[in-house]
Amino acid sequence: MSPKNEPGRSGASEPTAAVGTSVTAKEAAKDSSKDAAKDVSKDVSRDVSKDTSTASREAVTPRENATTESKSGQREIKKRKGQFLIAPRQNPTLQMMGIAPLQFSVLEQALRDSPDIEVIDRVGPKQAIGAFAAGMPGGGGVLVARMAEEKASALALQSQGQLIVERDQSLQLLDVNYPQSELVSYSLPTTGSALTAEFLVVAQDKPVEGAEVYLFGSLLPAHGVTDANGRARLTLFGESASSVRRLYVKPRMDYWSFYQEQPDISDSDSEINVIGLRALSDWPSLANFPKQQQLSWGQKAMRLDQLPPHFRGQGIRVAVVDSGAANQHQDLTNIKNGYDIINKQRDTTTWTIDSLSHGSHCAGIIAGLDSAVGIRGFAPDAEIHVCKLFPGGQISQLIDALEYCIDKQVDVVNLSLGGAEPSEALEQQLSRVRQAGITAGIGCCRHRTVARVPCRQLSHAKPDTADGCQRILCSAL
Amino acid sequence: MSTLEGGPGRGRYLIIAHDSHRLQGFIVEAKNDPELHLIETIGPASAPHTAVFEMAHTKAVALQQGFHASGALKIEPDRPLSLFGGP
Repeated sequence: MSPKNEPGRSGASEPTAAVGTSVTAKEAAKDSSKDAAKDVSKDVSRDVSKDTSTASREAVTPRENATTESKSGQREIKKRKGQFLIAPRQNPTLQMMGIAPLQFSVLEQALRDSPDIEVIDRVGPKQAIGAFAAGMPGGGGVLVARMAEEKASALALQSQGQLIVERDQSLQLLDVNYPQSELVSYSLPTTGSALTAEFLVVAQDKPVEGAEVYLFGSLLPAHGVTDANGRARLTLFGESASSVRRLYVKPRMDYWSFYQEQPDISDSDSEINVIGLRALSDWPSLANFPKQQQLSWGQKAMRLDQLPPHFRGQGIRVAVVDSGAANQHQDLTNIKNGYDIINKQRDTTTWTIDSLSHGSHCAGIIAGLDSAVGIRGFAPDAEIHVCKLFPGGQISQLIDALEYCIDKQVDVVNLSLGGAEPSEALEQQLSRVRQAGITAGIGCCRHRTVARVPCRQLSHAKPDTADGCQRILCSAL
Repeated sequence: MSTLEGGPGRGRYLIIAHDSHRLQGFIVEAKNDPELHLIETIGPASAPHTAVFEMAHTKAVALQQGFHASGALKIEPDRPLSLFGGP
């Protein structure tokens, strides 16, 4: 497996320098394998410089530009160097052609001499790495080294197959005889070693309050919300700064989120990790957002701007079967109708309380107010009916929600939900929905490869397998 | 429709019928069965099409076997749903 350049995600390009330029001419002349190592080093140096400049040009997105000047006691979050395994490749075909594998000791020395490669370990048979490897080609050892992705890619490329260069992958604990529940971790440490780090989320030189900060290691993630000073302190048990895999920051509004794999995090009490967010309005097509109304990316993709202006959903009833809708929100004040199915034994009017925000999000896309600010919905004049089904929704309650839709003579139902098993009772109710002339839009599987019910029950659903993931929107029942 | 699995414990089940009269008849009978607890009916008040019951899993298996003979009624677990993009 070869490492890949991934300029799209990292916030900054890694500094680069030649690999092994200190291998002297005298050493290189000793044998052909040393010559090969030197050639690899020279080529890698040249190629890495080129790759890095390309990556810098391409990596221009709001996320990548989320930078903040480092100040005393503060560390800007960027991608840390990757950890790679490097070893001479044992290739019998090449050996038959008289090309000997690189000597392990020469390779190690070349890597150690490189200023931007950190050799952190040698693994493999101790004898082979030591005395045996010194005089034998290859030797069966493996070097563990930290370097930039671009450097590793160039090293693999320029070795012309003589080197194995692969990412030192993280492993998952997997006990085939004792499958883990999604809700319970059987190996969650709550004592012992832990990474505790302080984060400061800023944007436009001001702290960002209410931003969610997630830190992912190999076990359960740590999660915090920034306070009024933009700060959050997270503790991740069983992890260290070098084992943290991902950092994700999700602001409440107005800013791009921030994502960094292999983040370079300080756990020092005297140093705070700074995350700089960029405003949505920094993106050219969202200039002056949200003060000035804009069409969203999805609306443009669906060519809403090409519809006649009077196509605004007037006279159409749309049901949003979801987690409720917070009609206190300035874009949802036009929503007057709803039914809390979960709480119907006590109070059916609590559909306005949306603890998950998912239903409010969907309702805004469908019928957000056409005001001077923010993003309007696709059909701002439509009459929205909110059926609250989450958290806790079951098949029976979905059937009940669809009954409400029939009863209210709804025209379109939005179902952004699913279940694991087919239900004949639901299928029967969907038939009634169809007979009532209602169109149901059923979102289906964002990341899963198998469509979930109720979409799976619709024989005319056409899966789109782009990106290896089925995305189905069934618009006709 | 898949075969129900028995075992200890109780759960919610949906009982449906294409003929509402058959379902209504079953609901009337269920009122005299202490093992069945009617939670609600769904559909027009005069002609419900779905009934939600709580019962022991073993009772559900027994009902399924009984329904299988006539084919007029069907029973299935009232399964949970989840949001796309949600928790």
